Amino acid sequence: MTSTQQPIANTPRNREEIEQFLYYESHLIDKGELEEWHGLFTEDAIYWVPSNRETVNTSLEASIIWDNWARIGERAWRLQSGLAHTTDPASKTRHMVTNVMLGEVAGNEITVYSNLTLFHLRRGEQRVYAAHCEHRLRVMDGSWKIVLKKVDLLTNNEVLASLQFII
Amino acid sequence: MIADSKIAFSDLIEDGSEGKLFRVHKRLFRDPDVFDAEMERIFEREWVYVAYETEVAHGGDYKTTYIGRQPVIVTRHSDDGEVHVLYNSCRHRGAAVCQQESGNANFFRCGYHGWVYNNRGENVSVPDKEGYDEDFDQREWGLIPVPRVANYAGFIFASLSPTGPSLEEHLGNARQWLDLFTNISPQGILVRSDVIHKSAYEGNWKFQLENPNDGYHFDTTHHSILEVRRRRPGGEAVTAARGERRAFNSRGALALGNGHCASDFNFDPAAYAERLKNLTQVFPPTAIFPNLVIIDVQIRHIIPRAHNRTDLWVHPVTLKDVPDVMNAQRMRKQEDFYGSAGFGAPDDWEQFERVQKGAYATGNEWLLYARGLRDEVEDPETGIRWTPNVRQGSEVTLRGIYRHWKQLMAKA
Ligand code: FES
Ligand SMILES: [Fe+2]
Repeated sequence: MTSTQQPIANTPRNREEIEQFLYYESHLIDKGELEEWHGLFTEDAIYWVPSNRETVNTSLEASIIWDNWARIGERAWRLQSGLAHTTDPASKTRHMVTNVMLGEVAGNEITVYSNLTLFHLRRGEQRVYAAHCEHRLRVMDGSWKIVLKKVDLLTNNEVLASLQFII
Repeated sequence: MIADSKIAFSDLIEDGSEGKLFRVHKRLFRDPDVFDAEMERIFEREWVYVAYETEVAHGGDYKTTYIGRQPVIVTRHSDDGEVHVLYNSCRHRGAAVCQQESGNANFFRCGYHGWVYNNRGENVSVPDKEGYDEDFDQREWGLIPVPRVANYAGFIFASLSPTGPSLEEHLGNARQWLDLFTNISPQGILVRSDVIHKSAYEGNWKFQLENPNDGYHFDTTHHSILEVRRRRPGGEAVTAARGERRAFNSRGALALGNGHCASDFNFDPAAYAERLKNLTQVFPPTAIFPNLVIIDVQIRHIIPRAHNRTDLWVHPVTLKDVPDVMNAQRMRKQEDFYGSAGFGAPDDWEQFERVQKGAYATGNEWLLYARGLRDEVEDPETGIRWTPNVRQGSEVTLRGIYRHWKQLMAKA
């Protein structure tokens, strides 16, 4: 998306704010504060991890994750419900967000690109995932909300172990 | 403990005869020797699934896969349109000639010394051929086709044995389920080699073959997604309806013969054929021995890697010539339960890894597959075995798998 409007976010102040927001999102995930994490999304949000490649037609191709707002909540709830066997023993994660680049601005939304290094620990085994992320953020009532979170895993076309945690 | 080397593989299954229980020894899951023998006596001899025909829809299309441990290329020849299954190994010094998972190519050029083959395996180029003796006949040095290839309802199977039952004989009663799955849309189904959920678990391949027809596990293993579904709008009604159906689950557990099995949770012998025609969204779990499962909206290809490691190639299937919204529903159904981040299948893999771990404990080495054993009856016409009176979680399906395993493993 492009816009003739004056960019709302390409100012040093907003850049810092946006980076802080991405770090905060990671912080909530790694701390297990998943209800608050769910609260960062707008009600029209999509949380998307494509399978096989970065661009797919979601009507004809299944993704690894294609969550609308309700399903993001279900995912968060299930992982902490104590009912999913994949969470016994529990997983721990550490999200490292880097290479933040501000992208297109349209109205009150901005697209932000970043790299993600994700460490996942469970049952004594640590795995590392790398990804390129796209966040589309919207200003609502003076704060940032996530409209789209798309995670392009480097391994999206590989044989994957369980991904029973928030990426 | 049974001394691992002293017992015949087929004795590792007690088949319930002579009033005994039906039991399976843990060696089936933990013993690399059993795995090697399975590769030789089952995967590299019997019919195994390799691809669905739409994965190689056009001339030149190919995909690479495995028959047991052996790498093969499934190709459709550019001119004659025939499907060929070739060993993926150069005739010169044996290098795998195709590196890609799928694609379209008229030729495969070996990267080591440059021999070139067309896509039905013929050798079309040997660089500096003069270096060989005069009687070197290039035509004798093509990629080798596997001994047998056959297609049923679009499912392509191959066998590394030149003789044996035909594919139709092998599939037997299971053919009806393959027909139903492919006839869901009048225009047929579409399976793409590049649309796939690939996952792995640290456990034996037979856990995945068993599990879809192990009705007993669902409520416990899948507690989390059942609860997610109950909490959805309208979920209480769905949960109640499921509870009513549960009582009849086991009547639909069918051992189809030759190790194949199916579970139709709404089994009603009278209305059976009619009702199956109306399936649009979900398909009952159906396992084709040894490496294919069709269930819900997917084709699941089981790739055994080691006694304690299995890969799953799960293809979500779309229907041809239906509105996009219908296929989108199918894809959302796939994502709901399946894939590495799904709410269902990973809980199965977690159990498989726990069973793998437990298989090394020797206190009790015999695993119990006895639910509904004494209630089992055989339909004289079809040979299908079922348990009319078991209310929940009949294991007649799993016994069908292991009876067939026992038979095949007895043949050295
Ligand atoms: S190994 Fe293929 S050309 Fe030598
Ligand atoms: Fe399951």
